[in-house]
Amino acid sequence: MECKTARNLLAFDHPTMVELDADDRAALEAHLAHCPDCDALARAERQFDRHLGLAIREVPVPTGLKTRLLEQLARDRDAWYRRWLARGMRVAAVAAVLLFGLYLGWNWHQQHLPRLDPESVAQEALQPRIAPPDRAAVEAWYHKKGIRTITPDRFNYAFLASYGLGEFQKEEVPHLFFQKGVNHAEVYILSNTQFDLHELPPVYHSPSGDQIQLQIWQPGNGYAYIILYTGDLLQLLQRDERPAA
Amino acid sequence: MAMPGNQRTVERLVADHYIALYRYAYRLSGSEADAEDLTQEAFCKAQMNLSQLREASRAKAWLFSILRNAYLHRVRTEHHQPTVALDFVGDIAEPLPDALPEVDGERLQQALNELPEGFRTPLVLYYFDDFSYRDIAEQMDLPMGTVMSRLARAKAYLRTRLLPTDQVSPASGERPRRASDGM
Repeated sequence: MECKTARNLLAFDHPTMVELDADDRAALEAHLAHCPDCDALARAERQFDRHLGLAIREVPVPTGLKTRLLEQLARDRDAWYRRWLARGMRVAAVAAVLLFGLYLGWNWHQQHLPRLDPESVAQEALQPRIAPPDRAAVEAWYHKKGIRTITPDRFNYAFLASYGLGEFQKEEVPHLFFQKGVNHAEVYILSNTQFDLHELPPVYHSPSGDQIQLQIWQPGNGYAYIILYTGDLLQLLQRDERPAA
Repeated sequence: MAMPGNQRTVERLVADHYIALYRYAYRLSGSEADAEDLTQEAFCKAQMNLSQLREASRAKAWLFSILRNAYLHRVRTEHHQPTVALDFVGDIAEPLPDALPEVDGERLQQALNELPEGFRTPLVLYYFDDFSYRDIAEQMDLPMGTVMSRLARAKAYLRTRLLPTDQVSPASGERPRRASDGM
């Protein structure tokens, strides 16, 4: 090793020596063992480092410093917990106000629920039977429920016993029930937006003789009417739908 | 609003490192009052951010780093005495006298105060023994070569300030020597 290299390596001559690998360190020490000039320089440098290191670390530590530090840290902790508590209480207060508001709202709502008495219940429940709605009123009712539909115009709505939603092939569809004496008809109204109606015939009559008869009407208005009936269907239709006697 | 670290851990940190931290603070700031304030501030910040300390073995370096940041923050906001430019100082070790004179603490601190912070910090960390060049470079976010160069120049400056002029070898007027000379 040359003196120039050795002197450059001396810059790494740190107490921890982690930057010099073992080979370089060994080579440096070997060079110092044989080169009096570099060895003197290294000794002087190390001595200066020791000397200066001692002087730099030689700082008197004030008495009671540790106690003061710990006291300050404890005060900081307490202050943090106080702030945290205050913040927590503010959050709790806001939450309590919100909960109280919700309670008041719920309470108000409960007190303003529509009151039910037997008379109003009976009136509501029997309304369609007492005074069957006309066709327009039925369509308006479906419209109010968010369902656009066209009810069959051939039926006599004076015989409409009930209406609502019925399940047809797992889909909810408008469902009408007509009744006159022993004659009943259930009507399912299928829309071409809900079902593919192309395969259905425009008119279908099931063979007579079955107890429950089926008719399918598809008047071309985008709807198909599936009619299940017993007895004489004609009795449930408009007068002009019946064949002349 | 981070939660303070475990009280026992913090107390342990204080017990293990408060002396080194205070001395470091003193050598950076040059004042007992500032050193105590900085030590206090560093431990308070450490207490609130203890979760950031992943390895207990890095606690000292972590605390020193917090303290230096606190110090730099103060330096930026307060008026500080001017420092010297080290352009005239070389970074190659020169022969020294066999018997070094006693270093006067006050004179040493005065010389340290004259160094720009970027030179003073690596020097102080270097003499705190536990820090390798790599540690110092990490602390200061500098390349290791820059740390070594600054350290060498800071040491050379201290030599000129602390040793009697007849014991420092470079003849006056001679160009300072650099490690890069002749490369």
